[in-house]
Amino acid sequence: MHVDADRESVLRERCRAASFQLRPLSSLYTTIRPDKLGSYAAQTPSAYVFHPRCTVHVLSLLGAAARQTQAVSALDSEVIAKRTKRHLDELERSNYAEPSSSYLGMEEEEETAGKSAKGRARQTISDRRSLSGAGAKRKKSTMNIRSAVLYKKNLATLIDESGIASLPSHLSTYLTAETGPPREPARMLCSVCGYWGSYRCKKCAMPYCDMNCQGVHDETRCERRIV
Amino acid sequence: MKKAPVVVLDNGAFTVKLGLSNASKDVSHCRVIPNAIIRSKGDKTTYFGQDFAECRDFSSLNYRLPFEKGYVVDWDAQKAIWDGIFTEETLGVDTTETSLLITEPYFNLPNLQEVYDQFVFEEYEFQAYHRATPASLIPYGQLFGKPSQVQPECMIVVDSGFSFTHIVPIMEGEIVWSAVKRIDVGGKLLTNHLKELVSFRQWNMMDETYIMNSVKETCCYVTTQFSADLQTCRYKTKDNPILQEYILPDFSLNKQGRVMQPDEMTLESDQILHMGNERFSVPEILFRPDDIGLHQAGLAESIAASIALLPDDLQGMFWANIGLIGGNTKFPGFATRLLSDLRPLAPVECEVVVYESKDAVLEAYRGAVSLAKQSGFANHVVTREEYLEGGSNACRRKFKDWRTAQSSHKEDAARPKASMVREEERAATPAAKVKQPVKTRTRTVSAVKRST
Ligand SMILES: [Zn+2]
Ligand SMILES: [Zn+2]
Repeated sequence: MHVDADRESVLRERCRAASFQLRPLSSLYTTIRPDKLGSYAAQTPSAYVFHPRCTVHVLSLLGAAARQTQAVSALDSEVIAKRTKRHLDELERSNYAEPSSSYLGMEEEEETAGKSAKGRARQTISDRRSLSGAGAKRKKSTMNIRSAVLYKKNLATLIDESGIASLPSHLSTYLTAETGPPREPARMLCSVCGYWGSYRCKKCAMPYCDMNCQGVHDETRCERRIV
Repeated sequence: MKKAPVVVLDNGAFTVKLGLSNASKDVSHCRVIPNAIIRSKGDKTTYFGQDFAECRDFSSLNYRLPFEKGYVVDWDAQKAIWDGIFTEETLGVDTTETSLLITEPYFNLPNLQEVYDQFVFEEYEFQAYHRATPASLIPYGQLFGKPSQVQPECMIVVDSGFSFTHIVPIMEGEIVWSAVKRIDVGGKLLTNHLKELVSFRQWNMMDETYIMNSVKETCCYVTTQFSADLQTCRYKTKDNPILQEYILPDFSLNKQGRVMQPDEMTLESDQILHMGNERFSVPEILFRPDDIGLHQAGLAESIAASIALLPDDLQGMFWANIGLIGGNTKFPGFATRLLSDLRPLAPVECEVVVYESKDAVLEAYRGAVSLAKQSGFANHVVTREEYLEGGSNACRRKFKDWRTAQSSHKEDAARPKASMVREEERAATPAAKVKQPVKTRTRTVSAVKRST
C-alpha cells in the first residue's frame, strides 16, 4: 500500500509527540494506534494502524476532529458503566481476534483436502482429531456425548437452563457467591501511563495525570461519543 | 494382587494436571498439559492439549479453550483434548480398568455435572469415579503441614486460578458453601490486561497471548507499597530500579524472550519491552479489582467477609489457617501483601497466618493423589454399575458439593465434633506446636509460612 510521504511524516511526528516509539517498519513487533484496541476501536473514526511486518495503512486521517465539536458537561454514568462492562468482557476473551476461534484449524484442513466448507460444517474438532489418527480409536459415542459435543451453549444459556436461579435461598450458588462491593472508593489511575490520575477528561471521564498524558489521551483514547 | 492405580486429573481451565496415584511418592511425575486447542501460524499446525509440547513458534497463537468463565462450555474441544489424554499410550492404563478422580469448578452447574458423568462412564467407561472441587482436596495434602501432622480443623483455601479467584472455608474437611466468595479476577484477565497496557504504551501485543503470559509470569510481582512503587516508576530508566527490559522473542531465529541482564549489550535487532509499573499494577487487580472498574471487593476484604459468615467461636482458627493455591498465588510478594492487607481486618487478638505452597499449581493434584491412595477412597466413588442403574442421580447422591450443603446460616452451620480443641488448647498440643509461626511477645502474630 502506498503511503503519502507527507502524511507519514505527520503520523510519525504525532506518534513521537505522544511518546510512542516508532521502529523501522520491518520490526517484528510494531506499535498500534491505541484507539484500535477493543472497545475503543469502534469509537474513533480516525485510525491508522501499523501492521506487523509490513507497511503503514492509513485508513482515514483526522476525520474525528470535525465530529467532536460541542462538549456536553453532564456525563452519562450509564454510558460509562456500559463502557466498563464492555471492557471487562473483552478481558475475558481467549483471542483478541475472536470470531475466527470457533473455526480454529478449519482453514488448514480445507486447504489441503480441497473440500468445501459446507460439506464439513457438521464435523466437530474432536471428530477431526480422532480421524487424523491421534487419540484412541473409539467406539461410537452415545447420544448424550454426541449432543454435548454438537450443541455448544454459552455460559449464560447454561446458567439459565441449570435452574440455579430458582433454588431455595439457603443454598449458595454461582449466582450468590460473588463477593460484595469494595469498601473504599475506586482509586483514580491515569488511563495513559498508570500513575495516579489527578484529572478527569471533561468529555469521557477517563483519568489522566498531567498535561502530557492529557495530550496522549486526547489524541488517542478519548471516547468522543460520550460528548 | 496390587491395587490398581487411580487416574488423577485436575482439570483446570488453563492446564490439566494429570497422573496416576501410584506413580511416585511426590508429584514430580505429574504432567501439566494446556487445556486448549492451539493453532500456531508459524508452525502451520493445530496442537491438541499435550501435543503443544511440540510447538516451536509461539507467535500469534490462536486458542480454543473448553472453559468459559471457569466452566466447561465447549465439550467438543474438551473431548478432543481428553481423547488424547485418556489413552493407554498417555496414561499407561486402560480407562475401562481403572477409576478416576477428577476436579470440577466450584458451584459447577448441575447440567454440566451430568455431562462430566456422561463422559466418564459413557465415553471413557471408567470403572468408578470421584468428582470434587480443588479446595476440597487440600485437607488431604500438605499445604498446612506434613500429612503426619494434625491438619487444622478450620482453614481458608484461597484458590486463584485462570478464570477466577475463590475463597473457600473448610471445616472438618468439608466446604462451608454458604461462606464461599468469588472474585471475578483470574490469570486470563491479568494477561489480557497486561496485553492491553503494553499495546497501548509500547508494542502491539494484542495477538501475543502466549508471549504476554510469559512476560507476566517472569516480570510481575505483588507490591506491598503500591504508591511508592508507582512514584519510583515515574522516573526514567536510571533512577528506576523497578524497570525491567524484556527482550521480546523471535521464534524464527529460535530466540526466546527474557529479561535483559544488568550489563548486557543488546543486538540491533532486539526489541525491548519496558516493564515499569506494569510489573505490579497487573497483579494489583487481585487486591483492588476496582482499579479496572470491576466493582468487587479485593482479596483481603473478601476473605474477611467470608470469615464473618462462619461460626463466631471458630473464626480465630480460620484467620490462623489461610492457604494459597492456584497459579496467581505464585507472584512474588503475594503472601506478604495478603498478610499486610489482612492484618488490619482481623480482630487484634487473632493471629493471622498465610500458608504458601512451593508449587501452588500442583497443590490440588497433590491432595487428589493422596486421597486416591487412601484405602477409604472406594467409599467416595460412584461405580459404573451404579451409574448404569441410576444415571446421574447416583452421582448426585454420592458426591458432596454445594447442593448437599447444610443450611447456610452461621448459627446452625455444622460445628466440628467434640474432638476439636479450642485455639488456646491447640497451641499447647505438641502436634500443633510444630506449625506455630514464630511468635512475638504479643498474641497478635502474623506470618507467612511456606510448605516444604
Ligand atoms: Zn499519566
Ligand atoms: Zn476523553
